[in-house]
Amino acid sequence: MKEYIRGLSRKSIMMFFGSIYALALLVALFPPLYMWSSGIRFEILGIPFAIMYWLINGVVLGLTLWGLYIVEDIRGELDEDLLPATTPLTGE
Amino acid sequence: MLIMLGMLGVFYAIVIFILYTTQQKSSPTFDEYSVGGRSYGPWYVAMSYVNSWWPGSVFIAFFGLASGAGVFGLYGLAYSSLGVAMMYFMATRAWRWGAKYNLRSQPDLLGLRFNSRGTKVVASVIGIVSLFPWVVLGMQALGEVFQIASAGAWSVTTCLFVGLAVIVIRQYWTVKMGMRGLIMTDMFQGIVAYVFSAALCLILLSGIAGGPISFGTLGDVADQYLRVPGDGDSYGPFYLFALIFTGVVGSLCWPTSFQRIYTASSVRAVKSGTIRTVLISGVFYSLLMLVGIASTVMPAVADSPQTGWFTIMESYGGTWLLGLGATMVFAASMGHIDGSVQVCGLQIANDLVNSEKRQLTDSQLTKVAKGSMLAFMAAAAIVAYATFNMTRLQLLAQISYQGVVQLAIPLFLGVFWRGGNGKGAVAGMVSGFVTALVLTAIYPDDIAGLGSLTGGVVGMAVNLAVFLIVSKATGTTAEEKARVNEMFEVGKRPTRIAPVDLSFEDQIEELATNPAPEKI
Repeated sequence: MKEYIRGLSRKSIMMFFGSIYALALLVALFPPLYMWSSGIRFEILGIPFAIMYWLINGVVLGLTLWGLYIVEDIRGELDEDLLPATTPLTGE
Repeated sequence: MLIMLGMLGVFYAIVIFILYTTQQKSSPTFDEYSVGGRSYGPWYVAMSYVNSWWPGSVFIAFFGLASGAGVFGLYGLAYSSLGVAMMYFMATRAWRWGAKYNLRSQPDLLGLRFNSRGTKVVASVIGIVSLFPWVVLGMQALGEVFQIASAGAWSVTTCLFVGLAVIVIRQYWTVKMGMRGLIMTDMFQGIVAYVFSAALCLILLSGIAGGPISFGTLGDVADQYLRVPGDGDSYGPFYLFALIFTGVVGSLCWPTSFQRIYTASSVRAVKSGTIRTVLISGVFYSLLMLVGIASTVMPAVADSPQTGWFTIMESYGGTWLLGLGATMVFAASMGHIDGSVQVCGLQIANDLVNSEKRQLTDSQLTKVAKGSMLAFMAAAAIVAYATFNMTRLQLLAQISYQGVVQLAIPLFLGVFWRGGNGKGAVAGMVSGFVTALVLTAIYPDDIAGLGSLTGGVVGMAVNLAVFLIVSKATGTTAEEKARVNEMFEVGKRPTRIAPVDLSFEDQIEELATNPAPEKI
């Protein structure tokens, strides 16, 4: 799995996580969506959907950021003392 | 009364004890004083961010929103989590530019990016002016905390004086220690204000504490509390959009928020700190709002939503729990005021007084920053006293929010796009700020004719148009383009895959064949 993540291009990683972030933005900012959720009493885990709508958006966003952090960590993109791009180190 | 005041006293004594034991004996450099020497790890960054993000009024105004209007209160969760996430995406470039060019404040970054002192000064003034009403409101909130803690035995004036005295004494350490004076106590203040309260909310909602509210109550709340603004009331469909949008873009516009990037020891610390901020902030705020929505079934809370937090504490646990609830508000207010006073002092010294023509030494910068913090705090204390019973101050705070988001246009475009110039940035920010100011003064809440958009959003549209037009009309020299290109090269992320799975011997061999480059 780690090798697969390292082999992906930066662009495809950002496309994936960026799309989820954009979706979370849409859920919070697009009036037809949040108006649709307004007033729905259908319960999920005992909580009405009108409330769950906002909670789910927050959870998805938090998990997305966490996922991106893990991926960037695996790819070694978080540390400042890394060497500039030369030959790959994994022997691929 | 003595029990509650005693609880506040114990909390305060611990804060002072932490400050006393962690102060440095030697006089700090300005880098140390302003951004803590860029040395703090993710937990410190996160706690400091959360402290500067949620003022004490989160337990009063935001809680009141949930217990008075229901699901509407959760808009704060959407904008804070989406907004804080922006810090993650901006972290690499902003932190590297900070370390490479020795940036200490958000206007510093804008001034550098657009090679324009005007941009730096305008951005700094907007930030300082916008924070001022919030510090005043924070000081007044402390007065209210003492009204609760004294159980009505002290007069309003006495409570305000005690609140002011307590925070002014606390600021002695902020002025003396600068950023270090915040970071060291933010951890403790944050645990009391946000972690303890989240745990308390969870206990209340679990139902094990008995009483009228629990998770189950959420299914019983009246229909009106499950509707967002714009659904069957006087607001238009864009009201919620406008609030969340300004919140998201405004998250990095507040000088206090952005400075957290520069206190971090690395890009990893910023990003890791951001994840923790979203976690702490999201869990705390969600639980607080769920308690607020559930408490709509309590008549005493429905009658006075703004004091709902205190009503619930008292009805569940009497004096002791009320004292704990007041201490949480006290901790949150203190953390927010500290951060604001510190960053405003820093910006006055670093962005406004210091300049190419009048370059100050490290010790002069520190002295000016200390003097500015004192002046800022004294002015806020005087205004807090003079306007204690004025509702217009709340309006001023609303205007300031719509105003500070005008920094977003040059900030976001400047960090993610190579175009634009200093003249466009200044013209855009000034026109956007004035537009937001005028519109919000006329329409304090929303503009009905525009589907309930707010003045800040309209100001941002004007800001963006002016920024692009003026930048295009005045043009950018080839030399300036080259300078900006060089900046973006500095901000590029490493493209190399980390030697995560290499053995220790392999790593040594790797380092021997590829010596580490100079640190930026």
